[in-house]
Order: sequence, then C-alpha cells, then structure tokens
Amino acid sequence: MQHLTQTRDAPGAIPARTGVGLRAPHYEAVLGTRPRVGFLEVHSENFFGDGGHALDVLAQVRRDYPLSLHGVGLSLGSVDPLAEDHLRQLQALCYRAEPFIVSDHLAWSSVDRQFFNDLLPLPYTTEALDHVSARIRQVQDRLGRQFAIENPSSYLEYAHSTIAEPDFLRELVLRTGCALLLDVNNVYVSAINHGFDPYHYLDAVPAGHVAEIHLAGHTRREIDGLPFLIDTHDQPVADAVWDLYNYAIRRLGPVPTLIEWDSALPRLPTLVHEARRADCLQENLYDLAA
Amino acid sequence: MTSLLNTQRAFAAALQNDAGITNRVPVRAHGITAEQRFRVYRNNVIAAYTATLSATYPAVQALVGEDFFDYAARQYIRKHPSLSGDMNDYGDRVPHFISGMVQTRHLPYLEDVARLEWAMQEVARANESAPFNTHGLTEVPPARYPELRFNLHPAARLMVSPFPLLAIWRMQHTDADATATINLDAGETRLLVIRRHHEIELEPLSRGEYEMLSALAAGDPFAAAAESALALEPEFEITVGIRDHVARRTIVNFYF
Repeated sequence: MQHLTQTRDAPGAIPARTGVGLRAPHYEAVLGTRPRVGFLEVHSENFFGDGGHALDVLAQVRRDYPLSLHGVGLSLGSVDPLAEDHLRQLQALCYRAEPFIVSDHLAWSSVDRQFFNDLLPLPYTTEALDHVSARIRQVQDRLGRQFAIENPSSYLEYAHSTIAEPDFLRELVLRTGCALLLDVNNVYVSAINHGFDPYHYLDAVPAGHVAEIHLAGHTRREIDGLPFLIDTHDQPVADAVWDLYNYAIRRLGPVPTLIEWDSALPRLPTLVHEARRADCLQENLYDLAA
Repeated sequence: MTSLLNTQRAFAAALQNDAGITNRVPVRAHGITAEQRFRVYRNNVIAAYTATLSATYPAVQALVGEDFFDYAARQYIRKHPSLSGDMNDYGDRVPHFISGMVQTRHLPYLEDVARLEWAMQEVARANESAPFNTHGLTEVPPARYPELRFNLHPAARLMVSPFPLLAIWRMQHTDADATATINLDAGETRLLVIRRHHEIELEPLSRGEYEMLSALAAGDPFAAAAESALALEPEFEITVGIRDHVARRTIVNFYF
C-alpha cells in the first residue's frame, strides 16, 4: 500500500475528509455556520476579477478551510492557444487563495477563438494525447505547481478514438506528472451512455495519482427504451455511484472527496449530510483518526 | 480529415448552425443515435448562455417576459458567440441587440435598462480601490486648485438616460404595486453606478454633478470640470459637490 503514503505525504496534501462545493447561494450559510467539512471547492472562474464580494467571501472562508480551485474554462483540449488572460487570472487566484489542488477537465471548449463554455468531448487519439500533454506542461510551468485533470462525463464517443479514456489519463500522468481528479459519477454516466463496465474503468485508473474524487447527482433519461444519463449535479448521489465510490476508495486508498451540487441547490445541511456519508465510507475502510 | 482541429471545427459548426453532426464527425452510435447524443451538448450550451444572460439582465427579462427573453437569448447566442472562457464576460452587446429587435420597439427605454444592468455587472467585479489618497488635499495651496485632477473609484460608472431609469429599474426589482405607473416624460436620469464596498449602489446625480464627475473621469482638470458643470447647472455648488464625493469615496485619488 505504498501509494497511500505517497498520497498523504505529498506536499500540500490534506486529510482525506469530504468537502463540499461553495456556491453563491450558500455564502451566508457557510460564513454563518462554519460547517464541519474537510475542505471547500469553488469554480475558479467565479473568482476571477480584481475585487468584489466573492473574493472577500473567499478570503474569509480560506482562514478556516483548505481550498480546491476547480476550473471549467481553461479549454485544455483546444487547438487554440491557451488563453493568456485566463492563465494570468488563474495564477493570481492561486496566489490569493493558496489552494491545495488546482484542476480542470479533460475536454475542450473553444475553437478559432470562439468559446462554447461547455466541456466538449475530445477524440482519444495519439495526436490529442501529444497536444493535451503539451498543454498541461504549459499550465504547470506557468502556475509553478502540479495541476489535476478531471475525467469528463460524455454523451458521445468518436469513431476515430483509438485510446480508452483511463489509458489516456494514465498516459497524461506519466508524461506530465499531473495528478488526477477522479469524478466517480462521470465514470458511471459515461459507462451507461457508452456501454462499458465502470469497474473495469476504475481498475485502469493509476492508483497513487488520484488527488481528489468528485461525487455528484445525475439525471436518468430513456431514449428508445435505453437508459441515457445526463450529468446534471442537481440531486443526491445515486446509489450505483456510491457503490462505485466504495470500490474506488478500496482500490485507491483514502482520497479527499467532494460532493458537487450546482443546480437546484439544497440547503447547506443536506450537502453536509452527503459529505458525512462519504466520510463514513472512508472511515469504515481506513483509520483516519490521525 | 479527422485531425483534432478538424474534429473541433466540425463539432463547433454543428453547434452553431443547428445542423446535425452526422456526416460532419464520425460518432459511435451504438443504440442511441449520433444526433440524440449530440443534442445534449447543444442543449447544454444554449441553456448555459441563456442562464448567464438572464442572471445579468433580470430587469430586461422582466420587461420583455421570460419567453421572449429566451427567444432573444437564442438569437443573441447565434449572432454573438462568446469570445471568453469566462462566462462573466458574456453579454456586453445585449443592450444594442435587444433594443434593435422589432418586437421591443414599444419599449424605448429597454436599451438604457440593459446598459444599466451591464454597468452593474462590470462594477460587481471591478478592482478594489487602491488605498485612498485624498488626505493630502488639505495641503494643496488654493492657487493650484484649478489644475487638480482626480481619479474616480475603479468600480464607478456614470450613465445618463432620457427616461426615469431608476424608477423603471426599481419597478422590475421590487414587488412594486402592479398597477403603479411610471411617467416616461418624468425627465432625464443621471446615475452613478458604484461599488464602494460590497453592495452596488445606484445614486441619482444632478446635471451639474454628473457633468463634473464625467469631466473628472475623462481626466479634465478641476477648472474645466467646474466650468462645464456650472454651464449646465449654474446653481450647482461645485466645492460642496467635490467635497461630498471625496468624503464618500467616489473620488479616490488626486494628481496634477
């Protein structure tokens, strides 16, 4: 179990407790009640800018919580040059917030300088692998720190993809030294949508390199009698995803985990309760008292 | 033809043109068709931009109604694609766009309401003011007053409208009496939109006050600002006005 030591002793690592996403409607409740959660995660882009209420809230919560900066707009997979202003803002935010982890997605959102602000799917080809590796190196050099890459949920696969997603991620880790942010819900959503076994996917994830896990709710639809899942972040984590999470932490060791909820936000205690559930699963497996 | 760049261009073209993805990008269908799969991305993109625009322009949305706003947002998204990875930058051309639509011609003040909401969006994230540096003002010899120049707070915007803008804006933001009416001929509005601390404030200005602050914001020296303010409002007390805005930190710095 050498990888456990590795994860826990990594510089800037935090205890494997569960955190929650901090969204604007919960600012007041978090500041007022200071819930007992392991860390807070914010969307980096919501704290770009030079001033204002959001940055003030961030400075206040940062005194009491470790912080994870999770981006949605870096567009790592785009062929367009990395947006200089975006990098500059992210760098400034890292300096302000001193996060324990900085992440974004294995996806693209812009082409020919036009943005779609969505996490669009990449073809998993050797060309894409070379390209994304170079981009991650560029970001890590710029920020002067390790970056973490999240597996996206996806609704389509390209016929010209030649590499399985977990193999693509493993290769990125080997080539760039980046960390992984494993979204267990995304694995499940993609598995149902594309018909692969999510447990096999987890078996292929490189243990020892997963710096954070995401859990979230999805919406189940049916198309022509077939299940089709949409990554909506608007409800509790599904039972099948909890099962998969339990398997993941058995294999990966204790990992800081996040409950992500972005629309139809519940009251803060509901989020904290979900986080507690993840903590219990990890405590059942590992002695995390220290 | 399936290079990374070609794949992304083809995907983007399908998103933009309401066209299908079949024949543009090779997709594994298995069970669910390529079009059904692709539609999730298209819907996500439209929903995200519409949500951003409606968060930035709540009063515009209230004025035109939710259904029309959604329709207008769709048109806007197609005409003005986002050029930034940061959604907070999206929507700067809405005032001109929505007021130019034939369906909104009966709302002559719509563009100004939209301009006000964009100004609020800008000041919400503008820089904190640098440390205030107005204490030394008392040591400036009166003979040099005419040459003084001032910096306004970085999170300050000035706007003028021929309509009672503040009343129209407030009506969309409070549970105002639905039968209340606003006299559109009630006169011009001059506003200071400013975030001195956390709250955005909307402060009505007199003609002279607006003129003075506009001139100072443009870098005019105090003498020139005073002259244009007094030309419009002879009774405006210029020294009271400037002291007031220094004290309230609309003005944050002076220089020669």
